[in-house]
Order: sequence, then structure tokens, then C-alpha cells
Amino acid sequence: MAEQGGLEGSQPVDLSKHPSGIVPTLQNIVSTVNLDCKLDLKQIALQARNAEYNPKVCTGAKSEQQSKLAARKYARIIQKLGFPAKFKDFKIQNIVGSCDVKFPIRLEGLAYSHGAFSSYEPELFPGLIYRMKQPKIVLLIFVSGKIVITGAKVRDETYTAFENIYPVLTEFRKNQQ
Amino acid sequence: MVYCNNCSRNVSGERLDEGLLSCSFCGKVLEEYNFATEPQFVKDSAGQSKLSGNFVRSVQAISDSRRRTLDYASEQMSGMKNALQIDDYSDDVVHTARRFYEIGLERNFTRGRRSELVQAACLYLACRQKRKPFLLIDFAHYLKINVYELGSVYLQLCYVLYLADGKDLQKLIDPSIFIHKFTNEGNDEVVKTARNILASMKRDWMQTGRKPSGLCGAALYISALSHGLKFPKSEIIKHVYICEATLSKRLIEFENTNAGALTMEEFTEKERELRTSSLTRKQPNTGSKETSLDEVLCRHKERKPFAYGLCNECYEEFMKVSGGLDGGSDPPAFQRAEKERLAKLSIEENAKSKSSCTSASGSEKPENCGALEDATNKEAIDEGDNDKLPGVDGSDDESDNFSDIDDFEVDGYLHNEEEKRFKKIIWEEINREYLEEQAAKEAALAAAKEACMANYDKCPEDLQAAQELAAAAAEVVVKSKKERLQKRAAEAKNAGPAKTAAEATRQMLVKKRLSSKINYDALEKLFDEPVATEKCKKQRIESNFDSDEKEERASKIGKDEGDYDEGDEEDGGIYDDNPEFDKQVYDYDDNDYGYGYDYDGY
Repeated sequence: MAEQGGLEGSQPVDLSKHPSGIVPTLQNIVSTVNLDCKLDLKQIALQARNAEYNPKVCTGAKSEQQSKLAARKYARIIQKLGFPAKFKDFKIQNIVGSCDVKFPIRLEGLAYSHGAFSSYEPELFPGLIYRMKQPKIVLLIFVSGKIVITGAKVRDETYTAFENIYPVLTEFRKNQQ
Repeated sequence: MVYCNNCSRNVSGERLDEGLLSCSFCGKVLEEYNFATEPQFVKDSAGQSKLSGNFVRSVQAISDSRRRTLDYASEQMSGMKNALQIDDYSDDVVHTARRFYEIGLERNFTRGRRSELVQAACLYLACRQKRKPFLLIDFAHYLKINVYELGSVYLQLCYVLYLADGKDLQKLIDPSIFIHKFTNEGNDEVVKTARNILASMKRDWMQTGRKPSGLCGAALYISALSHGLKFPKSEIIKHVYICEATLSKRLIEFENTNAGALTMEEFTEKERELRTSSLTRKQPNTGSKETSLDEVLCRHKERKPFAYGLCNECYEEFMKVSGGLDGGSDPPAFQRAEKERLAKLSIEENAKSKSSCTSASGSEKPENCGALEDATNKEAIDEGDNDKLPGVDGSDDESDNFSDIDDFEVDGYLHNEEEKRFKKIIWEEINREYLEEQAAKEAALAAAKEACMANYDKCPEDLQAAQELAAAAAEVVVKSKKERLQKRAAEAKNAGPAKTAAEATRQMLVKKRLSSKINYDALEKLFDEPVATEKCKKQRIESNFDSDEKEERASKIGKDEGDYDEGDEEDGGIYDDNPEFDKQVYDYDDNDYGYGYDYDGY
């Protein structure tokens, strides 16, 4: 589970798929699954390692496959504890990715030219919140060039969103002297 | 809004009855027209006198209560305006804010939100529109709430208000407007230098992503210092809402820029040069990727694009507010990121030089352009798998066997007996309150059950039967309740409009379920009086022709009516078939039916 983006380093970037030459790394994947049986949470919490039960309140995976694997493992654990758990409706709800374009970006310019999609309030948050319509993704753009992409249900949406925004970002990049 | 020479400001004037317009602050008379308010009459072409002017339908057709809400909101906003000293000379901001509040009311924005939050957000929006130097945090400080809470209301308000346009038209704050706010008159030099410093900061990319007031405070501090006025940092941070650490950071950042190394004279000289050169600049460099757009991205749709997809005006504004894209130092955040990248690179280099074989990193290679992410010891497992993800977002049921999961590994996740015991103790200790609550609930439930049982204990022989009966009854009640609800819902859907007043009332009561104590019979009687008397009349008509029973009834009614002749009472009392019938009929003299008098003998 501690797998962190070894993806880019392992092979050269496919420029037909990623024209910008940069591939966003996935940081977090949220998914849900229906176990289809009643659970006694207290009993599970007492018997399983790494389990916490706070009665008063399956994430963290870095890739979709890992997320699914983790979910299946948990279902297996619950089975072992004596509940008739099944594995229905596994669905990935959210994928969070991040990347770095490695040049400074003038957020004000983005806010001016893409005002319909951008929300830039330096008083509240140092980054610009860009809500892309197609695909429906939210990007957090920072002046240092780091981008956070969230809201995707499939990995390709993340990549598409990034490729869509990359030309706009280069337009407002800092011209080095 | 008229201009008053004395106050040298635009003021909202006060007009007394007969037309003298005076300034509301100093009282100077500004206009002296006399107005008459009675209706005037003019003669038209035919010599007929007509009223001059027209009747205009009221444009503001809002209800009284809505007006009251708006007035109250205006009052609150005025109070806020005065407390924050936004604009002492006119109520313009309040009027604008009131208009926003009105739109918000129409769009149900105030529902579910504290009204003072909405008012503050409207006022802040008005301030932003008029470029007044006030921050969200000023309002939050006044209301004693979290600035992010107010910020969220503000953002939602923007969304609601611009729903019609579909575009976010809020302009960005230029930090320079805050300079005047924080200085009082007479320090022109300081102000000028501060403005120059701020412009230089913008060019050096210190401003993007930062609070405008913080930068302003730093610029003022430096400027004051350079002119020999020593302000303590605490003074600055009181007004500017940043902490001392942030202020120091800004100063250090400025020091690190090129401009920070210049002396005061050199600095001013440079600024002057830049300003003159900017006036002669023509087409700017639009960056590496030209946007081949024919129309502008900004909201001035009818203008031609000048640069970056913006029209000329927006471009100028953009340059002024942000400092443009050319040159200067890198933003501090970017500098930090660069440093981290270099550090990582150097670590990798060291590691590589130390160990000859790259066993640990597997398929990774250190890249020259610094695209290196974290070095891990595991292999990259998912690269191939991720192209095809079987059943990841389908709604399959893949429960059958978990044969792909390593049982041994799973067992490792479960505690053994001793660990279970310890964990139980710990958990119960931590969640003691919750357990107590649950125990109390269960005890209450058990007690209630006991009480029920105790009632049945009095008749022991029927205990079982009674219990069963009770259970069955409860079940029936529940079922019937459900059925009743369903029936009611179905009825409500199917029933058309009520036919009589009684039915309408009943329908309304049933729907609204005002009270179960309503006596529907009395309700019916309420609407049934005229109907009852008609029934009476019908009975009397029948009695003239009918047999003894009817006669009996009829005579009874006659008795009730009290029109019975006393003399014939005896006769009337004998209810048998007798020729006296007609006579009796005749005694009913109160109602003229016309039939009784036709009898000639039976």
C-alpha cells in the first residue's frame, strides 16, 4: 500500500496519450463496495488488527487495482470473523491526482481569461479553483506550478483534464529572463 | 449624490419640503429649486382642461413583509458599514448591498443561513465592486466568526447572484488600494514609495496567491523604514491581520529579490524608468503558445482580443493588478519546490554513487530533468494491470470465493485471543460514555416491557391469552395504521374537489390532521340546518294522504310546532281510523298546503 508513483520513472512517457509530456500521479482513490450482510462493528473492531471503531464517526489506495484488492482483503477478513460477507457493487467514487508543471503560473491571468470556470480568492485560499466542465473535474492550481486534479471516476478523466488545462497554463507561465 | 464643495466629496443630499437641497454633513445649501407637489392642469387642443402627467403603475410591487425584511437588513448593513468605517459620506454601498440582498431573498438564499452572514457577504460584495479596501477578514472580525465560514457564504452568494449571467464577474483586488487605507494624510512620500515597492513585489511574483493586505503591510513597513519612520511591527500587524511571522517572511522574500538589493534612490529611478517604458510598449509578448482565438475570453464579448485572449481593457487591468508575466524573481512557493527537487536529485546522486547496483529501485532511473518522484523499494506492480480493469466499475457480484486473496496474509490481520482481550479492555475504556448510553437505553426499554407485563400479572389465568391478544392488537394497529395512511394517500390523490362545504372542510381537516377530537357529526350538522327543515316540510306533505302511522308522525310534528288547537286535543289524541280525520287535518292551519281544504268528507 505504500506504493508511490513509480509510474513515470519506469518507462518513457507516451506522447500520443500525454502530449504535454507530463503524467499526473494518482494520490488517493476512494471506492465503495456492498458487503450485503449485517455487521457487528464492535466485534470486528475488537478482533481485527488495524481496525478502529469510533461510534460517535476504505481509502488511501494509490491505484484502482490496489483499491479493489484492499477492499477484497477487508471483505475476506470480515468473512473470517464469521459474517456472511459478499462483494457486490465495487465502484470507484473518486480519484485524486497531482502533478507539477515546473514553471510558475500567473493565477490572476487565468482568473481574468477563464473567469467563468475559475474561482481565485487569495484571501481565502492561495490556489485557484478551476472547475472544468468537460470532463467534470476540479483542478487546484498553485503559483508554484503544482496542480491537484480531483473528482474523476476513471483515470482517463484525470489525464484528459490535465491535457486540457496544460496549454492554458503555459500561456500564463512566467517568462524567464 | 451631489458634490459638496465644502466637504469636497459626493454626498447624499437632504431635501427639505419645499425644495432646498442641502448637504447632510455640513449643511451647505446645494440646490435651490422650488418644487410644487400638487397636480398641475393643462389645456389641450380642444380647450379642455386635463391633468398633466400620467398615472404610473407602481414598479416596486413588493409585499409589506418583504419590505420590512429589506429595511431591517439595510439597517444592519448600515450598522456594519459604520462600525467598519467603510464610507462615511454616502450610503451607496448599502444601497448596492441592499439590491444584492433583494436578489438573494428572491432566490431563497437567506433560508438556512444566518442573516448577518448574508448581509456581511452582500456588503463585502458591494465593497469589492466599488474597489473599497476592505477584506473579508474585517467583516469576519466584526461578526466574530471564522473567516472561512463567511468566505463560503460569500462564494455561494456570488454563484447565486451571477446565475443569470453564467459568468463570474468579480474583479480581483489590487493590493495598492490598501495603502491609502493604512496611512493618514501627509505622508505622501511614504505612500509613493510603498506603491513602488508593491509594484516591484508584483513583478517579482510575490503577490500571487497571497493575501493583499499582508503584502501591503510589508510594503508600508519597508517604505516607512526607508524614510526614517520606525513603526513597530505590532502596529502593522494589528491593522493588517497577519501575524509577525508572516510579516518577517515577506520582508525576507523581498530582500531576496533583485529589487531588495537596491538602495532607495536606485529603486525609485528604476521604477520611473519602467513606468515610462511601459507607456511606449506596443504588442506584448503573448507567451510560448499563441492562443489562436478570434474572440475574447473575457466578458467583453464585442471587443477584439489584444493579448492572452483578453480585450485591451482587461489586459491593462491584468497587468496592473498582477505585474505581468515577464521576468522578475520566481514566486517563493516555486523557489521552495525547486529547492526540494534539487535536494532530491542530490540525494539520488549520492545514493547512486555509493552503491554500484541499483537493486532497490527496480525499474526506476534517476532522470535529469528532475521528474523523479519518491524512491521506493517495491516494484511498480500496476502499470500493466491498469490498462484494463475488469469489473472495476460494474455492478458485478464477485463474492463467491475469495481465492485470489492470500489467506495467510488475511490471518495476519486478525488478533489472537490475548490481543483480543486487551483490545476489548482498551476500547471499552475509551468509549465508556457510549456504552453507558447504550446500557441506559436498553434498561429503559426493558423497564417499559416489565411495566406492560406487570399489568397482565393481575389476571394470571388470562396472562398468556392477554399477551397474545395485546400483541395481535398491536400488530393490527400497526398494519391498520399503515393501511390507513396508504388509503388516505390514495384517497387524497383520487378525490376530486369537494362537492359540498362539509366535504371540503372534512377534506381539509383530514389532510391537515389538525385534531382527532373533531366531531364530524356536529360538523355535518353545522352545514345541514336548511336541509333539515326541508326534510320536515316534505314529511308534512306526505302526512295528508297517508295512513295512521304517518298521521301519528304528522300529529306529533304538529304538536311540536305548537299550532295544535287546544280544544281538539282529545280528538287529536285518538289515533284510529275515524271520520274525524279530516277535521284533524283542518287543524293544521299554520301551513297552507291547499290539499286539506278540499276534503269534503271521507
